[in-house]
Amino acid sequence: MATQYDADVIIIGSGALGSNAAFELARKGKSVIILESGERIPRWKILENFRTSSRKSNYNDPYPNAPWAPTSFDENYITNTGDFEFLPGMLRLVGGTTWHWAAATWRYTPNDMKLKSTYGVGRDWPIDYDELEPYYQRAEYALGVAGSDTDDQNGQGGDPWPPRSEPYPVPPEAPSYYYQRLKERIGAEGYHFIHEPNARTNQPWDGRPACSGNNNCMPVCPIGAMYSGDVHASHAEAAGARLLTDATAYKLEKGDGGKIAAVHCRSSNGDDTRLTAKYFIVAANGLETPKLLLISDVANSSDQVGRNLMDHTGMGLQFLADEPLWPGRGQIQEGGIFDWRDGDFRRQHAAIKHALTNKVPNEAVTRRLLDDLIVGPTLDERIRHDAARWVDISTTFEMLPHQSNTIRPSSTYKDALGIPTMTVNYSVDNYVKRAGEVAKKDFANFVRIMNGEVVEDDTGWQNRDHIMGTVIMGDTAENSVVDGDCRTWDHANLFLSTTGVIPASGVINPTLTGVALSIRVADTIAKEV
Amino acid sequence: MFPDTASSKTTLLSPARRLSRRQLLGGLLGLSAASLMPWATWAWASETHQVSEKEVANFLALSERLTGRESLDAKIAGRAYRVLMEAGEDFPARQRQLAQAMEQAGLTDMRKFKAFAAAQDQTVVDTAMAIISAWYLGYTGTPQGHSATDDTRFVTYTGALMFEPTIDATVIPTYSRGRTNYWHTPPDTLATD
Amino acid sequence: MTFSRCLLALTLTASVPLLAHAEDTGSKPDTQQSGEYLAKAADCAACHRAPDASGESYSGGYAINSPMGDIIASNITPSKEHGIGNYTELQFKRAMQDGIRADGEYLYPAMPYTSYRGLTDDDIHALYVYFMEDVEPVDNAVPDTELSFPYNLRMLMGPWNLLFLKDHDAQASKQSDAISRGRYLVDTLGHCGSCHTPRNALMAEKDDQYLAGAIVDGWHAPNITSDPSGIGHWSQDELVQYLRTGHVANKAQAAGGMAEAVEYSLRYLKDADLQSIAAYLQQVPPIRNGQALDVSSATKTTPQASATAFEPVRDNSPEALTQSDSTDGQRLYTAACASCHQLHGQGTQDHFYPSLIKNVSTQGDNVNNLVMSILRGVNRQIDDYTVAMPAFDDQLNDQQIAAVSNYVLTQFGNAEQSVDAAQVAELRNGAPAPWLIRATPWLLGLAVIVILLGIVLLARVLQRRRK
Repeated sequence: MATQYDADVIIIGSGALGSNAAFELARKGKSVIILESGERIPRWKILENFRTSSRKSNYNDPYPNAPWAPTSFDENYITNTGDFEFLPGMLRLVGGTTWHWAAATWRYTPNDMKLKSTYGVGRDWPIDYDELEPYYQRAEYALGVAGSDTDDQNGQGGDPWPPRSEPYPVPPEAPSYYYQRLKERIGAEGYHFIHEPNARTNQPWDGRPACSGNNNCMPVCPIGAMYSGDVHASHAEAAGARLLTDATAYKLEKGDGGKIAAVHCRSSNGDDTRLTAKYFIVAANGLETPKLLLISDVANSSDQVGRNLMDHTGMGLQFLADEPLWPGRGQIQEGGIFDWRDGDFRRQHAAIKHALTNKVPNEAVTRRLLDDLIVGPTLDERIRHDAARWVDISTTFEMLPHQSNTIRPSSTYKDALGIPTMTVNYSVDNYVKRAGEVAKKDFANFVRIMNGEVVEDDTGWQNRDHIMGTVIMGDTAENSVVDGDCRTWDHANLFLSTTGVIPASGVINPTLTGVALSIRVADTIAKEV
Repeated sequence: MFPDTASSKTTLLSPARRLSRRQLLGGLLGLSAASLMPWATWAWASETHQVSEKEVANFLALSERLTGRESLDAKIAGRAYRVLMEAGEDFPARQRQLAQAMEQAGLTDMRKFKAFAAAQDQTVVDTAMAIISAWYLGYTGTPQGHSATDDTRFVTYTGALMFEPTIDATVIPTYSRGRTNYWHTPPDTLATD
Repeated sequence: MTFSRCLLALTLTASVPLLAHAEDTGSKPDTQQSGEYLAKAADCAACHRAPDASGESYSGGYAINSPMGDIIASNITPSKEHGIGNYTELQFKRAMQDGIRADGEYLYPAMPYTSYRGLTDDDIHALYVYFMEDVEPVDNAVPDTELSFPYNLRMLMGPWNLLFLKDHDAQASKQSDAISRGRYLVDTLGHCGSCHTPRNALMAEKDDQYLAGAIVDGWHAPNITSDPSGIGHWSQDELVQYLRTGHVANKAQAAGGMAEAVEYSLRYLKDADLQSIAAYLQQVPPIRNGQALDVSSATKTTPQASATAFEPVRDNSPEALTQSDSTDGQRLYTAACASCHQLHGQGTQDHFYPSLIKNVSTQGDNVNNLVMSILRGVNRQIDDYTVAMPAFDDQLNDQQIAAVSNYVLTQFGNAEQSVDAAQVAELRNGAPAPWLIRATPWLLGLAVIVILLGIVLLARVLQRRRK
């Protein structure tokens, strides 16, 4: 007699990655259950939470931080033991952390995916760019990505790169005056400015309106122009998937034949449910996914689960330019300087991305002036003067995977459901530190070219919330957690949809790659189930 | 709750709210001619729920002097006063101390605040900056970027004075100012900014 | 595009004098149009489109929402297998003007053949040549339309046509060229009355209410007669601008079916033709339908509240940050609407986001377009960009949409109007059905009784005869 299952596929996590896989499977007629630890919250409510927040620069603050579904800023969510305070901003609700991701949607380049064989450092991906390209294309259409078909995204001013089989679905938005002027002056010294492909659509797309510059991509797009995972959570439901909220997966149960038999989840009032399926996808982000595997003691014959933790650890620069540029008109990110994206230097130091931040700077400007006891009419004059000239550059670095950069279930703390929280050990290596010195020389150049007054050019290392490597992808069961299809080596019916599979980080935001891989996971499973 | 004692301020994005520098200067001159603050008679409640209309009016008057504004929003004043009290119950006393110091120093032109501050106790300066910050930033306290809690308290968002000087050029984030790609051209005022 | 919009073209009758021949319209060679242009003016593309936006024009398959069920638009490309590639010009003319397909079956009047009956022979010819020679054949099979009984009986259209399919009158020769041209564009090609003229119990246009406004698929197609409750306060230039772009600052924005009419048809028309339409409408006899509607003088009457009113002190508990069932209209407006329409309903300075104060959808006697815009959003492609307001039907429940609508009406619009949740529910689930559809079960029952009575009578007669 055939075994009865609760679903063909159970997906743990309703973020952009899990929801895209769910939609692809549901529309192919597969029965799908999505488990989400948080709740569904309409955009208007999140927006209200933001506007009435007393800490608007804290991007988790508009979102509920429930004891049974804590955001990453909850006390004891992460205990750090390394020399860097690793603390990304992660959310718990339908749609996941793409609610405040700012929506940069770069593709990796062929060299990014063959770092070891090209430059002798780090690891290679077990698949190459050509295998991923059709899925990049599908992911870009799913998200409504606006991008330039003419930029050399390697930042060398060459032909369009990386290769594309089809144009971007949406043309790029117009550059702001701020971006144009910086490009004009800094670009004149040979720096290459590249438009940032993004899912902040500037034309109506899939029920989303066009961006009109509300300038609040983080922590919530007020109008839904910016893509967030709830779009495909809803699409998946419309296609027949069942979405269960307040359902925190806390254990994967091993069954016969090396397969996963069931997932156990717990609700906020402590009720436990066991759900069975033919296939399981863990799409619970790059920290919660390895934590769940480690707690469940699955998929870890390689001892690589929870190792190789990478962020695009970064630094920043703020200065006042010598002319009014008026940042804050348009989207909060537009692109940046990509000269250090790829080249032989990667044998010596990390790739570097300098991204321009185009956020209304009034709070930072005003705090700085108030610290200097500038008040009264002078304060108003200076706010206008400085806000018009504020330049903010957010720099990120490529990371290499290291065994010692780990995420582990905490042996000390548990959340309200009795599930261990996390311990992270993370340090920045010399590969990155050498790149940091290069970036500081660039900073000095930018300030000199713009005849600037430095506000901050020594921020120390900063979180960038791009979690990779923790369930690393590789070509053998001995050196990695998943194969090139994101299938765990140890369990034929367990797949991982998370940027945690990424084995070579490059220097670009990894979510689009995660979505592309997740759609590919859905295709693979759909053929088997 | 407080009755809306002052005439309602024009709010977000209404043209009247875009203060020119000349208007700001005019407001300042008006203030310098205003009567002295009768700080000596100020009384205050010990609990935020006991705060009286009179106290808020006093706080409003002091706030207007500190910010160089003629008519701040009375309801925002009520909120700011209470959250400042929540942050430190000695706030009313410190407020009175500040008003007294300003009175004695004859501080009416806030351009001279730095010189005034140099001659004062740090608590007096801190009190002044706490009040001014609440009005400009729309919150009190210091935000923590990577924590679920901190000591901040909300006062206002669209009413925060920090947005006024740039409201003709940028936005109060979350509010749009027009058609997609409007940002391709600079503000009209560029030449004089 | 809705069935109703097309269907209303069913009943252009005697009180609306129309034109039978081009000569009568005063058409001169300069007004003779290419078939492609005529196809735009006749708005063929809005219905005969593919189900999704990326499909080929005229390849069909789009489901036209009708009270009787979905009517599937046919493929009118010259595909011999799936389109009209085998039609002779005479067959084409019969379909266009008699509502009869090449195979002899009746068309449903979703196809506005009652309007197209007024087309000149020259224009029919030009359209035929265009569809046969210039449109690329698309071999796209379109599913059959399957309505429920009794509407699946196409033969019912025979008697219906006898009642309602009439030749257009030709009395317009006394009018100026522009007015005549406008009339031809409004009544024959554009079939404007199919939406803007209300209908009687049999879904035929009420002749005495010509263009006086009607509800179509939940949207309000307003009074467009020259009365002050119609377009009496519109200048000819404003009308032309509206027809071309669907947008007149501080006045009106097109959504629903009108946005489709602009997108697929009106924006392609020559200025002279738009001027003719406007000139014609401005002399359509006035019919009073509600109060005079001059939004240019509308102002927000309530005082502007303190920012604190829009920004309640937050409860930081996870429950409070999650709970989203508030029916406080001000809170909902602030969070769901004000990002674009601004806190005080004034819209943006460039009018890209329209004012909710100087706006016919908030100031008029009918609240449908306000509610429908919130439920369904707005989507209107014009030449250089697409206007889009997202639909809020999945974010706000009926009570919330009623609350936010009432906030808009009391703060910015016509405070005498209000909306309740039941109205929103009705519009959410599809517009209230016309009388004919609601009465169908009763009519069918009645028909059964009549037939049974007939059988009984017949039996008695036969019995008597046997006796």
